[in-house]
Amino acid sequence: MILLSTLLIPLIAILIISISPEENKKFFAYLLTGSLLYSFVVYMYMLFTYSTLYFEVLYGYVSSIGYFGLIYDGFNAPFLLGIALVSSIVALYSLPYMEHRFHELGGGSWRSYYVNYGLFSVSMLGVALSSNMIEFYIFLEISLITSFILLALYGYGDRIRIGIMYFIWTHVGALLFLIGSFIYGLNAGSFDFIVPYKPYYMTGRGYEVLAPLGLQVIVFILIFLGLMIKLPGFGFHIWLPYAHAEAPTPVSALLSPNLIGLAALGMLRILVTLFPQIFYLMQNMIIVWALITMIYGGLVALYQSDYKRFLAYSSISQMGYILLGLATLTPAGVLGAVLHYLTHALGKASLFMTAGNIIISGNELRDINKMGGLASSMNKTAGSALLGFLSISGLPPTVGIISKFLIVVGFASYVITGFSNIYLMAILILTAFIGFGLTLVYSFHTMRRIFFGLRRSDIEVSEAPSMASLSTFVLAIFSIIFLILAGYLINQAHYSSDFMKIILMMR
Amino acid sequence: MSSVEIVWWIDLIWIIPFIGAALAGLVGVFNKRFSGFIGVSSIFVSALLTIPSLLMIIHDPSKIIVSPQREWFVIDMPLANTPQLVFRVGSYVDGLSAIMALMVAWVSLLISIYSLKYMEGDYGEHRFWLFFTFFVGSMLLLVLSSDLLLFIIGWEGTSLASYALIGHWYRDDDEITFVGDKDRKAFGKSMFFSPSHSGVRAIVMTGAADIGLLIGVGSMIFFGGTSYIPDLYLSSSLASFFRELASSGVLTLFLFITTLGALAKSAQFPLHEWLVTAMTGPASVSALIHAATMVKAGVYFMLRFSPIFISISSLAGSLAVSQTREYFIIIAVLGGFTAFLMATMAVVSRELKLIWAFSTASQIGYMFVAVASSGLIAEPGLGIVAGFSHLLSHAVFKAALFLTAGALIHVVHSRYINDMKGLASFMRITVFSAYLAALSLAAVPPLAGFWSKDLVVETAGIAGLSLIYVLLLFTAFLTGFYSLRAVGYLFMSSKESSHVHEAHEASPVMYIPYLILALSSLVIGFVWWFYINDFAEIVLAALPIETIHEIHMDPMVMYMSIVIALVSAFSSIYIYQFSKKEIYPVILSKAPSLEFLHRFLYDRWFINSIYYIVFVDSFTELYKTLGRYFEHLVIDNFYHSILTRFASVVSRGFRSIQVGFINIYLIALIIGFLIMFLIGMGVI
Repeated sequence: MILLSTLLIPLIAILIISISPEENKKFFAYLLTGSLLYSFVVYMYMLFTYSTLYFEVLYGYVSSIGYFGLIYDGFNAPFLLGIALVSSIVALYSLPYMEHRFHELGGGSWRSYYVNYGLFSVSMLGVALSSNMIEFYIFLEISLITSFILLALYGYGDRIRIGIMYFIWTHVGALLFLIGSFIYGLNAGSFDFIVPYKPYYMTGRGYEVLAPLGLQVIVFILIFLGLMIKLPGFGFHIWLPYAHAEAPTPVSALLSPNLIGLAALGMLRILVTLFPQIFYLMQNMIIVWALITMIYGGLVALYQSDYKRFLAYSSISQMGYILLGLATLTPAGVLGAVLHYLTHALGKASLFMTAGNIIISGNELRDINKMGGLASSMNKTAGSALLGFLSISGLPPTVGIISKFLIVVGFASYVITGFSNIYLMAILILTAFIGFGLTLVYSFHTMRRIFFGLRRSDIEVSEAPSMASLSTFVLAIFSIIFLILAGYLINQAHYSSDFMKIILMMR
Repeated sequence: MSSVEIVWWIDLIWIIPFIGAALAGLVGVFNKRFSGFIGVSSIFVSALLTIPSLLMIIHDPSKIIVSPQREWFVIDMPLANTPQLVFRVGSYVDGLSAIMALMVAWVSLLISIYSLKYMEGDYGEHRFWLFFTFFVGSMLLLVLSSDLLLFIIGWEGTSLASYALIGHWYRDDDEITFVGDKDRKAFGKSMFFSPSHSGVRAIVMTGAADIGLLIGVGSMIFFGGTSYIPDLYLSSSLASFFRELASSGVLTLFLFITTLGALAKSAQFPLHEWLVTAMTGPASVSALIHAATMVKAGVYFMLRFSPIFISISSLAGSLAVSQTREYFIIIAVLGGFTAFLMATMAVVSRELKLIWAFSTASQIGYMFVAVASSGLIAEPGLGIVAGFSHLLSHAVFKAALFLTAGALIHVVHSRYINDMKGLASFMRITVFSAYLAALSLAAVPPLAGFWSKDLVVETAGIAGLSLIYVLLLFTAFLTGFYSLRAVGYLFMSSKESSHVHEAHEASPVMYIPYLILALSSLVIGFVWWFYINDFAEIVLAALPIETIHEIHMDPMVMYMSIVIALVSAFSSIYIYQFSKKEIYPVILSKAPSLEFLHRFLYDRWFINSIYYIVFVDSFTELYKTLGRYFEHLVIDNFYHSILTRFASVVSRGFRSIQVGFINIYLIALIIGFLIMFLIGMGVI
């Protein structure tokens, strides 16, 4: 019941918070941080000790639905670690930030904030842990509703409208996902994508239970589009900059790297596992889509002058990385994609926190054009931002170097083995150069515009409260720690090698 | 096959600087000064450790030393030739890496001692030491790693460190830290670069090109089935990978993409622009980048990988061999052209550090020609030895040149050489060191630079690259001229610049390091001829190419080199030290038609402006169009305006039939029944 405890203990903490008196905000923060840290420690412990796929049946077999289980394997380990770590540190960070935000809004409920925040974090853990489509959907739904509430209650700007926009968009995605799941599940007799007995992964199951190819394609496209809206891919991304930029910064730090990347896990768990043949059929299209997402997100990020909106577009570009790695369906690419989720979680969360630090101490300063030279007055924040940018652009000493390396190698072997036309190969490689290079451009260009050079306005900015700046820095440091631990994370994928083998054989 | 000895402490050579970097950063929070001592002492320890490792290699050159290889992670590769790809953490020392590590560690140590004084009281002192030590650690890691992934980590680590150090004075508030002339424009593009700007240029240019390295080296790892460097030497799966690439005609392209990272790191045309503006960093950083780390990493990559390319392609068959030759010719042409290109820029430049920067890229061009020649000649070892020996001699004199430049610039508070007139009489030791190093750069015998450059030129001749051969000889002439022009200004009389008279000799902490470096350039020059064959044996013993028998210097080439070096050096000495004239203004006033040529060279062949116009402007236009129009008018508008309006129109249409008139409802009912009936009949 060790995996269940990682959900239950934070849930108990949330329960305690919900019946405590309103003014104990420090107690709320420490309790939630502690309980989520417990989950993080458990996942770390499992990283070092377990060497097989770990399956915990929550609830026995339900006819026509399947098993409700919690799983831990090499593919979701980076997701779990990223979510637990980021949400536990951001819970602490919320304390100074929401203090500031409540002051600005003229009041707010700490209890409601932390209850929703906690539920949001736990439901994301649930999504990553789930073994069944229905379970996946339920947890996803909880995370969407709680994040919607947080956004609508405490966000910036036109928060109600943006909240509703977010809600509708993500539900369009969720609905498409659900319809696809129903068609599959009702035909297959169960919604499982992983079962608690060998061979665990239901690899290629879609081919067996959905007889006509057309039906498989329809199910695939429904689920794919649903997850593509969630991810988001180019074309479906328009809700993201609004939501992520206008959410209160701690929520952005959870939304942006953590929630959206779960769609990639969904693709791996459901689409790749159940429909590998269809995935291969669509592979070229998905790769091109990923490349466009990478480049488009990077280009539009360069245009932004709002720091948080910039980060939101950078997340779109980063999702392109993850989708690219995943879609190559090579061992390196898939491992790189799941590892890049962790990279991006650590990097982007700490970047959002630096944006929050500037908002706190710079009196709502978000316009990059009014920043410049901030490194002199906020050195901890500048250091964290540098580490964050290093993570997302895949440079040492962060774990980003490994994940970017694996994604690039996966893409290279996809190009080398899949194509023989030299011009086509050259164009694809060139696109990759632009895609990965743009991240460097927008990262370090923005780093310069915010932290280096001369001040471009006379707004006083000092270092944020130590709780905020230190928690940011601690999270950023974890991206270095995970470079050393990257070996364990990758080794976890060993026992999924049979799965990978079947996938590769279906090419 | 060479024997392998396992030595546990080899890893410490690169681990200790990393620990030193972390400590320097931590301690610097409390005491900025102390972080410098931590940095220097950690580099000192690893410098000490490089000596016994080299001695072990010298004792038996055919031996290689490895550290215990700890498994880092394993990637399962179902259906591949090697089902499990193991990545390890460990070091690998052969003659090449032992000598390289020794040079890196000791030159860095001297630079770091100099920096103790040079960076004293700086606002980012601890940040400097954090990245300086990290830089040395990354470089040693990339030199010594036995695993290609570690090699890549070290490689990218040098990119990060150079970014941080080039932009060290991030406040952009002191024009002495800038590069270029204020208000100078070429094609409307500013030629004045701030430290933070230069940092971005460096990391973007090298980082983007490194994608090529990741693609190339990564594919070699995954298709070759190993990331352990010695295993690649004769890997049959790598050979079959090469054969496959060659049969589809992409081997040349593949090798070129693999080398892009090295070309950028070593600032070879067309990726040289970042190095020029990298002069915004502190002088000790320039010394580190140009002498010991960073740009040398690219050459080291070539030295390490060219033998692999040669041996693997010869295993892969004649098609692969011919495409590999094509690749080496491309590299040689790029190197030769860079050597010439940068030398012409150095001839007209007015900034002391900038002149040395141009000369670095130019000299690295020589090294690239030498290494590329190794793939074109019967005895590949000759190219490797020539390139490597030039790397070493260049490291020594270039470090001295930059360190002296730092001291000179500090004294006169100006970057320009015409403000440094007359310093020779005030700073004798500094100017002596600079002069000696400049003579070595000018390849005046018997200094180190002469021998190694001569061997490079000769190798290019043997390789049959006659055009490049001529280009290199001409470049040698330019080199002799500009290097003595730069130091020649120090001897001119200084009527107008009064602050020179307040000049005084630098502190011993600063001048001892560069004096040592300058003198070693002389010493290496004296012993070079006697030890070059032993050197060649040590370097080549463990590489997958045949060792060479004996290095013969062609006397004709040597005489020619001597004449070129002496003529160019003496013409420069005559102009600047004896007649004490600034010659360019005189020439330009007499022949105004040369004005354009001067501008062309001074604005770096307009390459910088062309890049800004072609890449930066077009991408700026693109992202502005996308952000302003496409994102807003197309995507945002479609989803949030057109789609919603469509929905409201449809809803209005449906609402309009539900207004309470019973007749409409009845008609709808009947139509509905009719449709259902038709469906039931199977008509629809």
